[in-house]
Amino acid sequence: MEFETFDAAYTSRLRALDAGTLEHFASYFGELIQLKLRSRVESREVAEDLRQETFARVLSALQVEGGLRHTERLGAFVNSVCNNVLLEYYRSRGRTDSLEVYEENHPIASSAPDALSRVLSHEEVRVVRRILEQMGERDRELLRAIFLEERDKDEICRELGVGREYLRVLLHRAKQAFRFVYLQNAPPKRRDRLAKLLSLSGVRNPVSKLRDLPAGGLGSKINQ
Amino acid sequence: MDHIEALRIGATEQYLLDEMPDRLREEFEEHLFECQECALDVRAGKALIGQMKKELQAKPKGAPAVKRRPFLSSFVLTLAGALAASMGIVLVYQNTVTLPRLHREIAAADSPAVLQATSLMNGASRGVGMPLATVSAGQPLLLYVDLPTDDRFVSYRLTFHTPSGSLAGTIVVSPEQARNPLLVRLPAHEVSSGVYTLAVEGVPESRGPVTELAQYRFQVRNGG
Repeated sequence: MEFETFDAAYTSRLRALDAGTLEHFASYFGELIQLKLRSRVESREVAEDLRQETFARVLSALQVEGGLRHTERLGAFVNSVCNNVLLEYYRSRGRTDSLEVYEENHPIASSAPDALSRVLSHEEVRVVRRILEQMGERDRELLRAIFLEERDKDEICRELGVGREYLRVLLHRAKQAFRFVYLQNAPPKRRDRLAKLLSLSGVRNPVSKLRDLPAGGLGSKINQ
Repeated sequence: MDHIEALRIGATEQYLLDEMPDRLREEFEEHLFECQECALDVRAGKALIGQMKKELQAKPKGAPAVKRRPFLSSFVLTLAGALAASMGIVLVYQNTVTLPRLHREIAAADSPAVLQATSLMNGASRGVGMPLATVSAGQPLLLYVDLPTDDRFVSYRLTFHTPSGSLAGTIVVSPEQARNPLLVRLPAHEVSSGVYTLAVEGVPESRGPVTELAQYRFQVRNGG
C-alpha cells in the first residue's frame, strides 16, 4: 500500500531527508506532476526538468522555518509550487499567451511511461489482457483509435455509433476492474528508484541536491 | 472541488482522457494533489491505459472472429461438438461438486452455530490497519457495513471483488436499509483467503452514472 498520512511526522521525515519518505514523496507526487504537465509542456524532457525543479523547491521550503505552515496540506503546497514553476517556465520562454493558446500550439507531450512509472506485475498485465478480451471488438477498436492512433474522439465515436459518455464509462469500468489488482501490487519501497529520480537531474543524493541549489533556485537552470 | 463532486462528474476519466476544460482541470488538480483516493484512481488509470496501449499494439486490428463463414461450416460443427462436450462436463461437475457442496452449506445453515461478524465501519481504504476476518470452512463471511448515504440516490450497490480481482457478488440496498448499519453475508463458497474489496456505489434516480461512495478492503483468513 502506498497510502501515507501527510502530517507533521511525514513532513518532519521529509525535512530530515529520510530515504524512504523521499522515495515515497518522489514517486507519489512525481506521477501526479507528470500527469499535470503532460499537456502543458512540449516535451517530456521539459516536464522532467520542471518536476525536478518543483521537488527541489518543495524540499528547500521545508528546510526553512515556517516554509510549510499546514503540514497536512503538503499536496496543495506541491501543486502550488508546481504551478509557480510552470508559470516561470512560460515566462522564461517569453510566452505571454494564455495556457489555452499555448496548448493549441503544443500538442500533448508524450504520454508514454516515464522514468517513475512502475513496471506492472504479471498479474496486473494478465488482468489488463482479460479486461480487453472481455470487451467487444467495437470497444477495443474505440480504445485503439483513441490511444494508439490518437484520432479525434468525436469522429471515432460518431463512426462507431457511440456517445462521448460511452468512452468515459468504458474507461471507468476497465479502471474499476484494474484498480484492485493495482492496489494490491503496489511495489515495496526501493531505494534505487530514488537514486534514479535524483540522477535525472545529475544529483547523486538528496543532501547534495539541496546543497547544490543556486541562490535563485533551479529556475536559472531551467531558464537557460 | 470535493471528493463527492469528483466522483459525481467522473473527474478521473475526464482527466485521463484530456477532456476537461482548463478551469475544471485546475480545480480537479487542486483536489487531486490532496486526495489520496483520487490520486490512486488516476495513477491506476494511467497504468491501465499504458498497458492497454501495449496490448492493443501487440494485437493489430482486424483480428479474426469478425469474418463471416458459410452456415454449418466446419467451424460451426466443431463448435457444436465442443458445446455438447462442455454441457456434459457441466452436468458431471454439478452432480459431483456443486450439488454436494450446496447440500453441505444448507446443512451448515440449518445447524445452530456461533458466527462472528467483522466490522468495516472504520475500514475505508485509506486507513492503515486493514480489518481481518477469520472464517471457518463452509461458513459464510459476515460483515458490518455502514453506508455513506445521500438523498440523491434511490439505491446503493455493494460489489465484492475477490483477491484475484474477479467479481464475488453484488447486493442492491434500498435507502431505508442503508439508514442503519448493515449485516452483509458473503456465501461460504465465495470465501477464500486474501484481500477482498467492497465497493459502495450510489445509484441516482435518473439513469445517470452511478457514483462511487466508498471502498473497503479487508483481509480474509480461512481458519480451517
